[in-house]
Amino acid sequence: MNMDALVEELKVKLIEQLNLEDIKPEEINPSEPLFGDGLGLDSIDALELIVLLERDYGIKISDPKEGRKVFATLLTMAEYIRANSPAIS
Amino acid sequence: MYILNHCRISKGIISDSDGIVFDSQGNNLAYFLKEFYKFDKIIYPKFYKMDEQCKLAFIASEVLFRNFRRDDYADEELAMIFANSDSTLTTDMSFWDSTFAIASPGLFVYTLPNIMLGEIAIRNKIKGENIFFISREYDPKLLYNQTELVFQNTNTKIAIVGWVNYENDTSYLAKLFLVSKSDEAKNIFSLENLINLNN
Amino acid sequence: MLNQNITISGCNIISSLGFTSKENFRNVLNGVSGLQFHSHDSAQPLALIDKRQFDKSSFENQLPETFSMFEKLCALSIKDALSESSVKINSEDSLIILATTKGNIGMLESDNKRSESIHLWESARKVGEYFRVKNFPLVISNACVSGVMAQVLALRMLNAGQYKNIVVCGADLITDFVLKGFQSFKALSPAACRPYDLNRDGLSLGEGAGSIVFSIGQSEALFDGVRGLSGASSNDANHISGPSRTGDGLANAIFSTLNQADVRPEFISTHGTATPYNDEMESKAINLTGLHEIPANSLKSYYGHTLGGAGVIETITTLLALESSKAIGTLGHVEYGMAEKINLVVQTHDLVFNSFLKIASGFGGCNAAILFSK
Repeated sequence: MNMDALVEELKVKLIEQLNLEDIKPEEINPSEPLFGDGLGLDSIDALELIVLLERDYGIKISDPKEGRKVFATLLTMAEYIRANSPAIS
Repeated sequence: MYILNHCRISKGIISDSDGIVFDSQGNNLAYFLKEFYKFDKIIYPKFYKMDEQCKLAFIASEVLFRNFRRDDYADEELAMIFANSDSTLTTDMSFWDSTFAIASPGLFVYTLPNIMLGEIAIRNKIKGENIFFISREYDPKLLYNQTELVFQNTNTKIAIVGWVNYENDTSYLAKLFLVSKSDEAKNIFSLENLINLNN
Repeated sequence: MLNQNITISGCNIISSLGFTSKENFRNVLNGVSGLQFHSHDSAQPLALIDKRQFDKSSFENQLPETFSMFEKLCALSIKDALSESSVKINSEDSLIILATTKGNIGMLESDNKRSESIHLWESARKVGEYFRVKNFPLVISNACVSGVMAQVLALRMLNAGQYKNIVVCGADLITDFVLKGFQSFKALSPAACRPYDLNRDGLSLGEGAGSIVFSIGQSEALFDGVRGLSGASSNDANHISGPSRTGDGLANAIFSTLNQADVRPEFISTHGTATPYNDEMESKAINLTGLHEIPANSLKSYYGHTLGGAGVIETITTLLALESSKAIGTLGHVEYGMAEKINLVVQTHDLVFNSFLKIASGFGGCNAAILFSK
């Protein structure tokens, strides 16, 4: 899967996993911070993103601090998945 | 002590002390709470993250607080005294289901009944007393007694008192009262009114 | 309003450290922790009740076969607390308050569906029936402040003259449900928890029950006549799971508690879960309330976090410490790691104190505090 397709896929999964019902995929800027003001995500969302990575991409993150770096933006998340997922080649 | 407003959500209808606020025309709860959220022009994205019981409590509190002069009171002067029967059983079962794949932290956080109080507190900056009781049925005597004790023992001036129980999309009840220690209103806060009003 | 003569005539702790409050306290004094790895592949240590001893005790006390382990735990704890007191729990003016977060939740693990018996009021009914009470037990479920809050309510109801005796029982069990929930929150330390330590990395779970018999106007009084003075709860209005970053919520509960009494605490039993944010928040609240020079400890590294039981178990332990003039050290603590200083007791040592504050905070942004004094 190429990077653009993965980013688009992640936008949809993010909205579903985190119940961001009022947000449309095209409104998410892949290089803007996910946490803080942008999408208003919080610590529980970060934990849910860890679930998403494990369930859909077979990547386990045990340290929430590592998660904070991975989930900086949608782009860093996509890069991390490409580098670490056995499911994406 | 006076009842400034009350709100009830049951059988697809939202009502307050002036009468019916919203009629779902028979739609199930999950659908109609979202309909009301849009109808009432509420902008609060966290709403979508809540479990159904918290959504029910949240919408009931939004209706309850209409026309309430929130800014007349300090955050610490507002209290919440709630009860229900099921605690969080429906979400408990969903969370337990999730553990067979990957346990969901987003569900686990809703497996405590007082999370409802937390959600309403965050929305309305309520920082006073917050107590959650479990009783088999709506128990007006318990709620009346505990609210009176909160008024007597703390700086509380306003209390949100009531019952929120969600079993499924067709069996649920929210029944809240907005109670003032001293501001006068038509209905006094009494055991009789906890029994007779808001039905 | 408060400050009437509410004394204590009985108490019990059932936990990983024993079956009576004295046995538990002896272990705490000796620096014993109940936290253990229970199988070679377990990811976290847990402080579990000795099940063989528990079954033996249930059998000897002829508890009904129909009772779940949670109901047996509550009944055993209340029974032992009452055994040293003359209080008649089955009188018109006596009440039981049950404080728990999840009660019989373990029942979902064999059959994930609704049943009457899983409800907290049904456990309360059974326990009440066992003691032949006249008043249906009150159930409070306020996350991790349940045990402190139940005691606060007891003080309020006794002071208002609604009852003469109230037994508060706080209890919770470690179930797969609770364990998997805390694991999903990445909240558990891989080792025994280290409250207020620079390298603290999460909490450790424990199970247990604590029961206290409160009475108003009674002549018999344990712990050198210590009285329950006042208490309060508050909400952070900040986040449903994360503690406040400022400590103002807990500070509000402490202020409200102290405003109702004319006594200053000489010791603080903190919540001290050893999660990075909780301990930081508590140290801020203690500073906001000007109590940072008062000796304080956390007991979580002895009992684990016993959830609904914690507030009661830790109150009893601090009452026993007051009685024997000991400041209990914060086991597992090596290096202080908070932005703001508190007077943390690290090693157990002799200390005479006449009053103390018990504080707690939990999910839902709730906080609670209660004050005791000779």
